[in-house]
Amino acid sequence: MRNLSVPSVRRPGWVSSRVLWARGAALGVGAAVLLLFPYVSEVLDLEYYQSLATRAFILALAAAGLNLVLGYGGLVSFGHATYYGLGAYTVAILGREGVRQAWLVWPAGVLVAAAAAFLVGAVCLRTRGLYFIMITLAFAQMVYYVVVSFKQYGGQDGLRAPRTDLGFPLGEQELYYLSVVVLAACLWGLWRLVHARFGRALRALRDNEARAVAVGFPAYPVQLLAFVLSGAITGLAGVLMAHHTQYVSPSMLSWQQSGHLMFMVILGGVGTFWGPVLGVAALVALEELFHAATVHWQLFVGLVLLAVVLAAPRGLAGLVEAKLR
Amino acid sequence: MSLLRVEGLTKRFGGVVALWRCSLEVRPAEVHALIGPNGAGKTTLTNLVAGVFPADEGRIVFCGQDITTLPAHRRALLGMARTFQVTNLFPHDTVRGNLQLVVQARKGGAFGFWRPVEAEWELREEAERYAARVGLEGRLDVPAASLSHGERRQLEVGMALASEPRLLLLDEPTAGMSAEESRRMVDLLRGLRGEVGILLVEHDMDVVFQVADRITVLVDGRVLASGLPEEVRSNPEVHRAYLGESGSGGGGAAHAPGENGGEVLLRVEGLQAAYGTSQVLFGVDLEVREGQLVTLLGRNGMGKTTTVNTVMGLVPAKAGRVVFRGEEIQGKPPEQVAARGVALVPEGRQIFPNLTVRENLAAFQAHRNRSPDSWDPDRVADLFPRLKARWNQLGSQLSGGEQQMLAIGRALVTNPHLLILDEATEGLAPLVREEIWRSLQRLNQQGLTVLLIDKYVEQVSRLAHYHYILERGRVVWSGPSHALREDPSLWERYLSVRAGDEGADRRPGGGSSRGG
Repeated sequence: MRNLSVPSVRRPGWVSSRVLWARGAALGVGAAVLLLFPYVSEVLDLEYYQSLATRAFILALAAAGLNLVLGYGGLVSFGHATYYGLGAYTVAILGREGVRQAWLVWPAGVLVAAAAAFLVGAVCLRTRGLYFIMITLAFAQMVYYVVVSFKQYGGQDGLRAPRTDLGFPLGEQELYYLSVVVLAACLWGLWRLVHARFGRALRALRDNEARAVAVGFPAYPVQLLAFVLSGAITGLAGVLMAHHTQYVSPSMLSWQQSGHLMFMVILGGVGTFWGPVLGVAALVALEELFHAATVHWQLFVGLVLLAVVLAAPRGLAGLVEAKLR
Repeated sequence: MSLLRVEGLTKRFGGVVALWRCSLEVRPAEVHALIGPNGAGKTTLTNLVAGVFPADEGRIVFCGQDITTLPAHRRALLGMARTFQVTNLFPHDTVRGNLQLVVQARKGGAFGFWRPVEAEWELREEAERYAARVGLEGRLDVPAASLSHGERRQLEVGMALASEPRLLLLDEPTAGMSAEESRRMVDLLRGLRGEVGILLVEHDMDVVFQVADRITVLVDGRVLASGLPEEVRSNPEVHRAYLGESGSGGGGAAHAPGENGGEVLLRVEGLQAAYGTSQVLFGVDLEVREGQLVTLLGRNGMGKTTTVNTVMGLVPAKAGRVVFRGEEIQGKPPEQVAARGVALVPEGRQIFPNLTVRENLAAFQAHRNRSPDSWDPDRVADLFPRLKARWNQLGSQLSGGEQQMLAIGRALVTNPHLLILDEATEGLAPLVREEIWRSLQRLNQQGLTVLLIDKYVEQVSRLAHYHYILERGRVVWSGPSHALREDPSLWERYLSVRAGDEGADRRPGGGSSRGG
């Protein structure tokens, strides 16, 4: 019986070694391109694209955070703009009050987002399905209107967000590298997380909750922790975005922003690891392309999205995966 | 000391008393069988013990600890594992993945954040050990969704075992299994005797009397009898309420319109079908004539369900023709096939859980009115009086057997020309099974054409006029009932029933005939 199982163990290992090579090569090339891009753009006078890339990295971080609950947890949170916006607003409000030390402001932004996610998750995770979606949205709208009502922090008009002090001058190029490093570190952490016991339990609860509970996985604590981690990562993206735009507005907390984040994840592939990154890259590129060509760019972006979602139910990552097989 | 003690357990579902002051005791390492008619409360009792929902009254004591109010996952960690009446797996995960999850839950749980589970070799090896234990060592990398029905049940038991339970709750482990698979399951259960306590819900009396150390009989939510198998078997009350008179299964021989029947109602020619890249049907040919009762036989995984699902339009046909009442219907969507008068009672019931019995039936009533005595919910209530008693209960609150009756009733109210039943007696008590076969025969005598898939070959061969045997997606034999019964080699080769023991093995009241 033993020797029956041996080839079946070996075979997937052998296939994945080829995939590993491909992955290693892709990572190497990707890292080189990312490292050299600012210098190339400086020479070729393409600084606008460097800023666009920074924006894409930050959005990819937010989308990856959302994907943890939406994709791996199967929990459709329609309010992730809350954590994104709270992270950004923390930077702006603390900056306004004169607190600019990065070692204070950054953890504060992440903690505020995580605390909000804890409170929202603690309530929402007692519900399922449509109710879960509606309650996450309701909380997000509450936070939105609370922020709008604070006139001393800009109200409807938003607020300037001064860059924090990291101990070195933070220019556009530095921010670019910072975003790359933070995104890479978070993706690595997420990779370990979803492939570790926690990720397995989270997916088991998504696929068959009744059974996972009967097996002995506690649904509520696992899903709540995932929700908090997801909120924290999205909050970190908000902190970075405040540095990038140097300005925050209530629109970062709006339900349209939540929808935008969801769309990036769905376009890339819900519950696939690289889906959020691919989705953001595709969406940013599409918006840029159509924006330059026509004032009705949103219509065309929408049409492309519709086509992708219909043709590739598992998103862009699903298409890439099918190609690699 | 007892392993599990249930004292005075009561449970009501919106006015209906499902369990009334039930008490029973499972001793360490004994196999304790829980038997009783459909709707007696067996599944309710196992759900209460497992903690799926709370009891209204009473106490549950497990290993000396009162667990009446403990949540389900805590009970699992105390050493209680269960299988489900309808298989309940992680469909996208492989056999190994499913088992590994259980081992993980037992050894450390969910909160590991850094080390990949693939690198946890001890989890993997242990998962493979349990796979070997239930005979799935050759299927480790197969996703659970691609397993055959019998293999899924094996995996269910493997997953229950992998949690190293002190008490195993098995809800109909042999349901839907072929004779061969049932026999393997019995061997497995016998091997566990003396090692782990088992509370077994089972309708197959042969299985029960082969493996049980003690038996409790539940009727209408009350304990009717409890004791050693011989005591229970010779208890006259138990006979009356559950086991039935021996050898009455099936009714008389087949009647007119005989083999040739009337007009051809359904003709299937060269039907091929596949799920993704794995082809299941390789050219099925068959004919059902007006007024006939035809069976589709064969072992599990040979394409019976796929055949009827393809006829119904639920699975797309790759090639071939399906002609119903002179019209080609292959490629038509299921609702159009149904509108032409084909009704399917699917495997696994699939009733609407949030509608009441009456609403489930009313939603499907078709006013085709092809005869004066057309079907409506009231006539279904006459056919299944038990449903009448549950008229305003939600579908989800019915027992497995009642759901099965409802599924048949729902097909009947569409007033079909052709009624297809896929394992319609699945999970039913012997008495109810016979009741359903009798009703089917009566309906057929009234002119309804029936295509039947059923694992109780011996019984349905007495009802039916004509038979088709499927093997690996092709029809390998077809013929009338007497030809089937006179050729024991067919049984051995295609139906996994040893010649000579099909009667004892497959007769619904088989156990009782030995006990009487």
